[in-house]
Amino acid sequence: MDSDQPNRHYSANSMPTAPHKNKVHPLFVSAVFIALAVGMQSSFAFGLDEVYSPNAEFGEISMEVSHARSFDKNPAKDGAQVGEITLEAGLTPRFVVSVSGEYSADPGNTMQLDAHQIEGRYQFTEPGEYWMDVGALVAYSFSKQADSPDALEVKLLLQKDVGRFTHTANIGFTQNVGRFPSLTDEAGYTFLWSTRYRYSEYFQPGFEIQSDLGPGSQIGYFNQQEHYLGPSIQGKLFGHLKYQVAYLFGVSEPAAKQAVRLNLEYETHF
Amino acid sequence: MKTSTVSAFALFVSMFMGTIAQAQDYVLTIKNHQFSPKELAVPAGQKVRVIVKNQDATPAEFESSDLNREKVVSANSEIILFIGPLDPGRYVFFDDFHRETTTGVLIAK
Repeated sequence: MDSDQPNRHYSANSMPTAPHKNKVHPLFVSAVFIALAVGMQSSFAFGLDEVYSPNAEFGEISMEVSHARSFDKNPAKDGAQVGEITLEAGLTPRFVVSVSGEYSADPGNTMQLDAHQIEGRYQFTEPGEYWMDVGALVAYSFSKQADSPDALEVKLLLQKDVGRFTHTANIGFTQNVGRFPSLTDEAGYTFLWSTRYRYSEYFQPGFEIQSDLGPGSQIGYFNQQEHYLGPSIQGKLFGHLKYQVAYLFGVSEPAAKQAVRLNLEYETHF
Repeated sequence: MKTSTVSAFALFVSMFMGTIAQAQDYVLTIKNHQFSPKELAVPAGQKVRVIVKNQDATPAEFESSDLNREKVVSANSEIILFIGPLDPGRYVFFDDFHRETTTGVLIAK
């Protein structure tokens, strides 16, 4: 998950200085390159997520696969991947629970299982009952990596229909907890937005915004945050298969140039 | 200052809640996997409450991409849908469990 990983930024002042004025030792050059590579990689915390509706679907059980990948000329930002495989059930007319496995790959690395997650979504209002539909999501990720903490995520889910347009916003924060919480880790904040035009059941074009705002101390510093914006399509295929595709462009300095997000969900009822 | 805050809050709540009091009720029945009426006329520009009564012994799922609603109606039970305000037009809905036979249209005028 995007906000599980705290962003670390390396300034020029923190780089080591040369041990000798005239002669640069090869080990030192190697160390500088490694430090630069680590620094560049650490400041890029790729993570795209589905924009959740606050509305629950009672009696529905679904299997969902989501995956996102970054594209960039800079190898430190190219090929980062995140994904999730989820089993979800609408247990009551207002409550949905899901369990999932989260995996990711840093640029140049192979995929690894990061965490198992249990998530609950609650629908506070009936769709259309009030001016805006409101819900909440609470998720706990049990880290599968030896040196990583667990994470608690809370999101406010909002939705508003205006004619054939549906606007959805998720405002979330994630806090590292559990076995290896670093006391210096601040809660990370995210903002996700989706607008879609309900042209038909099968084809709903729109756009999406995905912003990893980072910790609270970074709020207001646009170019220290990862912001993506781009077109999206969603709809249904073959009756029970829902799809979402988004092609996003990085619009802030730490973001990758482009990213693709895919989501497939097979739903049935129990 | 306090009075204005309370007034603003009251105004917000009344705006938020007021729409419910104004919503008119309309009834849509599912029987033998058919909607009745098949065409339900509602006023355009107003929020309405549609009570969907399932009189069959099997569950149904009211679904409409046009209205952005998807909700299961258990056997022999009912649900309430809040719809609108709608622009004038035709809005198709169906029972997702029996979509070949159970369809209807909500007409806003």
